[in-house]
Amino acid sequence: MTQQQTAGPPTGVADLAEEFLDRQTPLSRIRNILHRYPALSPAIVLLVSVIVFGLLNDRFLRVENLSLITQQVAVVGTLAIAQTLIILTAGIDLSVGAVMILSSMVVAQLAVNNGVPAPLALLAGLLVGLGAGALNGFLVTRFRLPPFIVTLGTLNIFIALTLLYSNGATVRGSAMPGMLTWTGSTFLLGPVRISTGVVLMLLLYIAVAFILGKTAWGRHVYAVGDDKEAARLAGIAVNRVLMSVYLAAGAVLAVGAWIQIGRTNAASPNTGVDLNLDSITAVVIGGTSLFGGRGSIWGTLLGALIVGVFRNGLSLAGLDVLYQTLAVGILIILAVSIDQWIRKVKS
Amino acid sequence: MTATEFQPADTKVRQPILQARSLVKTFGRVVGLDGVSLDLYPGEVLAVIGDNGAGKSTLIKCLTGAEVPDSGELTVSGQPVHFKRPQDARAHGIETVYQNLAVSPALDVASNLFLGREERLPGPLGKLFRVLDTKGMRRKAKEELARLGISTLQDVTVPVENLSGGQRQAVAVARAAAFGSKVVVLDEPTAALGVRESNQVLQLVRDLRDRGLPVILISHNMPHVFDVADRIHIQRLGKCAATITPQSHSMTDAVAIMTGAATA
Amino acid sequence: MLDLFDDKVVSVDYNRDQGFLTGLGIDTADKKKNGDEAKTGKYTGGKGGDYEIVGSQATQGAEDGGRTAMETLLSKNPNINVVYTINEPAAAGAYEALKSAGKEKDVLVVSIDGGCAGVNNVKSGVIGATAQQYPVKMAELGVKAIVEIAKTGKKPANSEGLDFFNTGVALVTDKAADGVTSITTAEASQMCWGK
Repeated sequence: MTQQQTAGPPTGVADLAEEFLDRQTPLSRIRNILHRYPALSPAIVLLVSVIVFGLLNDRFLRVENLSLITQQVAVVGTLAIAQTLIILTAGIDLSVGAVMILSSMVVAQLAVNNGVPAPLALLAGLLVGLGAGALNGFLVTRFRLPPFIVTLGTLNIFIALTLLYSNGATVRGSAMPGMLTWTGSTFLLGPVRISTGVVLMLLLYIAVAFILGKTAWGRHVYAVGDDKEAARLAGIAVNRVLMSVYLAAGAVLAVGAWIQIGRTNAASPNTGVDLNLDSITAVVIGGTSLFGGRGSIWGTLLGALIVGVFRNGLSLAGLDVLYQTLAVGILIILAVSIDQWIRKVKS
Repeated sequence: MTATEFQPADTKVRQPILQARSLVKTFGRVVGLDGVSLDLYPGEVLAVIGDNGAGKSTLIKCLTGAEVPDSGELTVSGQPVHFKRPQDARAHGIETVYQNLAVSPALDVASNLFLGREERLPGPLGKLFRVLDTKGMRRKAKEELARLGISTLQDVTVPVENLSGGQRQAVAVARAAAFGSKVVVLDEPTAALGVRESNQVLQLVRDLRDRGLPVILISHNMPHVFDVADRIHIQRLGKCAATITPQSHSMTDAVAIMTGAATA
Repeated sequence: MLDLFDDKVVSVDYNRDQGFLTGLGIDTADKKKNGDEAKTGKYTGGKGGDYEIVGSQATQGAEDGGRTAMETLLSKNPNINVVYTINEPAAAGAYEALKSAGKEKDVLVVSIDGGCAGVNNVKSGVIGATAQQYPVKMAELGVKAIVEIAKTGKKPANSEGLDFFNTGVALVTDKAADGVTSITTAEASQMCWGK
């Protein structure tokens, strides 16, 4: 153990080495840019895929078709907002679709079978969403169970509750008050047909983007997902942040339930079985890291659109459905690989 | 008596900023702390050394609210305090830089400095919509870094993960020292750093002391300890084996006391 | 062709799909593979004629999948006039897509199952016709057959000309076509399953 640090030469060498390491190759510069703007890579993928599918089939770029794609992603896009919030905290929610369906069944049955006024029925749906979020959040924070396991359990619980409550029966939209199916109504904006559900989804994106980007709560969500211990030591009440994230996600899911009722003009216990995983797909393709703390809500919207565009574009190009699933699978792997590569950024 | 003429021997006559008396902490049948006392005076660097399991970490955790001692007393500027969580200690101006840094890699420098104490915009935007004053926090972060003499962090908008180890440590230290804190506790600040970066951090420690901020430094690195410490608290088997100074003892003596081969 | 799954291949999926095509008199190529039939050609069922299959999409057998699948196929070819659906929820979803495209009057949606909700949809014009099955009868006959085997060891004989025991299917529609045996929704409601 020497007390003296030799001055001069070693530091000089270190300086040189550092300079050498700082010199960026074009590839690492791209990586740094992608790292700084997590929504950039999905934006590029979306742009390229739209162009390619447009070249493959001239019907793809028609306004009607593009409008349909937005309507098709409205429900999964909304669920993906909830999923993004949870994944940003390094969690995962396998139960989003099940919560959404349970909420939609409660809303529809209360309104149709129990004669509850539509606004109150929707409020009850919101309470179902919040309750489900509270249960997930409680189990994650109090019992310190991994979110994957918690939501795997609650997924089954919510599916069972839905079927028990609804007897497996579909409530048809024609029997519902107009307010419940309002989210399925459309209007023309110039040549583009837009559904109210899509507008609702976009409003949610704007609200959540604002909250995540501009408030202390948003910053704490990122900090908790980034490094839970660091966040705790910085004085952030980690469990409170986590709980609020699951509650917020539950509220978003209730809105998703409303959009779903409008979209299918029905509340059916059989819908949305794939939405649990599809929402994760959208988030991952949107560039949000499953390890938490990194990602953007706009990336998720792009991710949902990419999946919609791929499914639609591949169908129009005449590809068999099994190959569409294959393509989405490849897309996920690519997205995660790119995420891993981007995360290696260090100076 | 002025700060520049300050000698460790004079400490008896001054009031300690942080004082611990007979702290006891047990974990089941394992005794972590067995009646440890410690004084921290204004403008000094107090190093805490000791072998693994000697109670160093437990002592620091009790001082910073991460653990609650079973018995014993803590006073800050003469006032008795009871810390139940790190926030309590922070509320009394005791800031800690943990070994694992406790910075959020994906957030930028300014966000990290203000993490957990963000400031909102004035007016309805801040009150009603809770909008953060990002620009204001960045400006204040810069001012604070300049005040602390931390020159390695020029751009406060860079994500912390893009910084070198020394710069990250500087962010963590800056956060602890900024915003009117009274005591800064550094847990192994140089453990993961190279030679040059370690020197930067040690210089930072001296700078803090020269600005009147007392520092508790936990370290395994004897040269670093003897380089910056004014006094050295040696933990052994859950007790304070001795409190020495770099002038009164050599590094070899300190190691001997630490391992029980000698007594002070 | 609005099929069931895009992530698994199950017999109910291809048997229904290929059964529908066989009924129309279209050669299905591999009987266990959806979508491998010739996309255009002549069908021999009924009066015969030219056909074009616009595509096959998965619906997961639910409303949302049915709607998305129908929308996609309409984008591909807006002149679709007959839609096969794997089951009645998918048919209801397809109807929503047709309605929002203003085509619900021009397109015949056919389906399979004959659940009460489905029969109601036939009645209200959402579905043109559905093939009703009788799960209660299936179960009854099935249990009886098992009891028979247990008691006497006698296996039930296959129905004439088939390699299985036919428990019966009836086509449910209120717009009966000449030469096709069918029952009305009023009759079907008496025998339907589920609520």
